[in-house]
Amino acid sequence: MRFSLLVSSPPADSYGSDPALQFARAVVRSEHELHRVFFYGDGVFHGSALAVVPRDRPDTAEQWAALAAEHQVDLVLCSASATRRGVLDRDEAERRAHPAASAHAAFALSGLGQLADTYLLGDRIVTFGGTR
Amino acid sequence: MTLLHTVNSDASALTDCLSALSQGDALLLMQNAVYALHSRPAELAILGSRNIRLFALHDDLAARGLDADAIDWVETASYDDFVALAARHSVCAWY
Amino acid sequence: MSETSVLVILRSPPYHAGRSKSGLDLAMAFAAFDIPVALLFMGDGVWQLSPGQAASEIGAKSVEKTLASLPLYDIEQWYVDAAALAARGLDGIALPEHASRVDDETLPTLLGRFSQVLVF
Repeated sequence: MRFSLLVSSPPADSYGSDPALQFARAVVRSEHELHRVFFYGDGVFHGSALAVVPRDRPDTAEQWAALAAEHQVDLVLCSASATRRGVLDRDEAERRAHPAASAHAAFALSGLGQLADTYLLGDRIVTFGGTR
Repeated sequence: MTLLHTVNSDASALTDCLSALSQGDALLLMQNAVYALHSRPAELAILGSRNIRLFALHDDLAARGLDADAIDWVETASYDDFVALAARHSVCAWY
Repeated sequence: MSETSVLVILRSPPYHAGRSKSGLDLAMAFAAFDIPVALLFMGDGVWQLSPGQAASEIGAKSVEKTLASLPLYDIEQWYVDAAALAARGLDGIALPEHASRVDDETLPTLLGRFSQVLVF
């Protein structure tokens, strides 16, 4: 089966290992496939390259990036959620004449259409929401 | 179609989820929802009789110093079990 | 692939961390891609149906107005948890014609009729 994830919880919600990341790692070590992780709402903070993580804590964006590189997973930040929260890739930053890009290079910004597409493809979609 | 429901808090998310469960569904408690094994046992213990399997995520229990071994109406699940359950059922996350 | 259908459950009150807006944005995106979408208002989500919302008082966009616009996006299959309305003293409010009240027995069966269920 092909899985995709919809993550709307911010990284700080999970004081230890992020549940979405733990699940993603369990998918790639199973017989199933992980296709895409779509970050929505506050979930887009997973893709910020500018977060400064305490030395004894894992860097969420780097962890996702490593998983994606090893297993060919699409990491997608909802563009409306991301731009509103200041998570911009190079294209968006240039287009809006902002001084810098803030999205990690492993993440791509895309519209909600891509999420709808993921549903149409029939992936098994698992949501990880925040706690408020 | 049966569903795997996930719940990550023991407050209104669990209340709303419980009112939406159907026979043959499964319920996985994760993050703070694992406390519900102790705070709301009456609502959870009866799920088995409705043919609804109840699971609690092992890592979240262990992190909080909880042990579900003595509770006979709940099964402990690893993340690998979570993936296997999600492959069997469509997943609905309550948060 | 035509079997994809989505039930969006709205269980949060309006103006709460943008949750109802997030759910409605997704519902509209699905509808724009011709994915059949239905809404289920349950729990505190039924507060979204409460009339007379003056959202501008808190600088917000009116959820009431957004809901009223949904038929334009072909989102006209609404279900409302009757017990949740009653528990909040809202049983008397007028619901649009395309909304059906569901009781405790019917509500769980609704979820199984869709290929995907999303909660906001």
